[in-house]
Amino acid sequence: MNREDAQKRSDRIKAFREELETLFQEKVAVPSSKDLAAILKHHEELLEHLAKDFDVDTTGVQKQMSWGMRVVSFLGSLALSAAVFFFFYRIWGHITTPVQIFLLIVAPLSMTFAAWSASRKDSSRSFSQVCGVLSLACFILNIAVLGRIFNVAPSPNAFLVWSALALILAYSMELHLLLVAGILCLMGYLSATVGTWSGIYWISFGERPENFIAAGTVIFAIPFVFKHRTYPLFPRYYRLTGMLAVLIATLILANWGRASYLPLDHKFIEYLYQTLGFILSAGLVFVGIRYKWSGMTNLGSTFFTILLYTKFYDWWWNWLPKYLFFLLIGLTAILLLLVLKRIRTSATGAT
Amino acid sequence: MRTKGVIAALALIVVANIGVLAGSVYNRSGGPWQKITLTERELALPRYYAFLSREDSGMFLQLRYYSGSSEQSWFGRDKLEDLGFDVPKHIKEVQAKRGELRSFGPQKVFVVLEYDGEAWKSYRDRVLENMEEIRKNMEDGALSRDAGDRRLSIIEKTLLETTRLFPIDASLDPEKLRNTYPDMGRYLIVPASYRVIVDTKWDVEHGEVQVTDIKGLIQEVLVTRLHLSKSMRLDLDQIIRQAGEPETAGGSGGKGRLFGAGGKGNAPRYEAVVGYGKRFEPWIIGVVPFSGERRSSPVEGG
Repeated sequence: MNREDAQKRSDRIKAFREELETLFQEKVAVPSSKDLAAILKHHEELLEHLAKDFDVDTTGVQKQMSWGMRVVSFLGSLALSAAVFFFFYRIWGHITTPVQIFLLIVAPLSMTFAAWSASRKDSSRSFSQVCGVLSLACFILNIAVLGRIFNVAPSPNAFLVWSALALILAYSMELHLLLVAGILCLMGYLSATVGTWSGIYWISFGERPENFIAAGTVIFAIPFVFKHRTYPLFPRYYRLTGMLAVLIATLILANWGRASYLPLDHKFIEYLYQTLGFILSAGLVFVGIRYKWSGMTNLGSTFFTILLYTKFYDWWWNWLPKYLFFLLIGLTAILLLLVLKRIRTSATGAT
Repeated sequence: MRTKGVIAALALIVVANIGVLAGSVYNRSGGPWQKITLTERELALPRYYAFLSREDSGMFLQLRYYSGSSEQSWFGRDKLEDLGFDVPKHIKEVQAKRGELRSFGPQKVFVVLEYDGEAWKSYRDRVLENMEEIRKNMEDGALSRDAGDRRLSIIEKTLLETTRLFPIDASLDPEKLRNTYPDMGRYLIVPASYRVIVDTKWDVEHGEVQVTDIKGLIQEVLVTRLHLSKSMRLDLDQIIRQAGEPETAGGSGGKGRLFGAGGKGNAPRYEAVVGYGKRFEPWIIGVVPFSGERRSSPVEGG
């Protein structure tokens, strides 16, 4: 059993108890007091064991506190990372090169060790997350500043090593924030590499959104190749980040065909990507429903709506009275709601 | 899993640092591949250093080179084809996009920067001709004395302070460039990026886009900020103090402006020896007071 399974079990036990309470109040038949006592006792022991071994939230209050801790941990990590950056830049001109190099190397090593120590003592992972993010921040500073000291031309390989550290820490200590950071760095590396295949200097990889479509597709495919049995929640980050990159790039090209690699008229490219965008976002809604990937469903419906509204703007903004334009937008939203409700109802019937 | 992962993370950090440091050691091993002495005109203090120094105490010198397209007439279609750029294919692409696409790249290349050579003299001569034109307009009354004097003053100041590094050639093979330009005191071979610019016009008769010109343009030299170690920065501060300008570095929030405004005329205050290693990564070997060059007005051809 992993932490996610333990939390789901804890949530089911809580829901069971609440339903039992409701049935009792509604005077519906409930198990005999002897059976009920045995079930409740078993659940008590189980919850104790789950809380002790997996640090799951067993009550609603604990769940809220856990969310609060995650937010605080995230903000704290960012603030401390910024503090490290600014502190180093403030002092580095006053120290000799060997001391600079020593500090740059020791910082990520010591923060990695601190993250490991924290993870052994703190099962909530909040402190190990803070140390893990600091470790990554120190490593980014390490490589970036060494590059400045020795006047090294920038290279996309930096993204690769940063991604590697973030992913190693994410998988060894189950840190979701570091997983996202690692995926983003990997996306940067893949996009830059795809850009260089077309012959351009890597630093301008952002000028061609298709580089992100290729990279996003690879990221999306990763969980299909590497099954995540130990970390069942990790694949959704790959899927979401990958598809987000693909959809944003598609949206850009749907409005700015000049940025495409394709040797075609820019208007035709825009129509092509608009069509692709609609098909892809609608497809994501259906795939999300089929495989119960709620993130995909939301992403697909959001981008479908954005694409639709951009088309409405292109068609009608200049010649329709403004009140009519917004009325049409509103009516379309209602129509979409009816369609989604119908899909939702049929999904409930199917289950 | 946790312990193995942390060991892997620590190993990654160590290996990455060894990689970067080993690369730098290799770059500098056997001495610089090329070495050149440049003045403050070509290796300037950071322009907005006064605003940065409070939060960033690091110091660098900015390599300045002339990047205007007017001095890159050598970078035409022939040179592009030498660099392996498929000119006919890209012309077709421009036509397919009906002239909406007008640039390609950037792409990596090695460029030759000529120091105080023919390219600089040609640029200076054109500027002097422009100054003559202004004087003539002042004499003819087409330009008022005040406006003319102001323009002449700005041009003269710029001419005395502007960089004398001009890009004059490019290739994918740095060895080939070194064989063609062996004088290491005059020519610097550095990695850079370039763009391809396409000029078009609409052919009314045939109803299609015609490409009238296709040329390259050096977009940027890849490394222009050259880090100064603490000891060299102290040397530089000393030189600038002796030259009569306020200290330009450190926590005092120094000026960091280009020389020329105040101080002792428009002459550079320092010169720096720059080395480039096997991987074309530069480093500053030393900074010394400016050894002296003619301070005459550019009108005298200085």
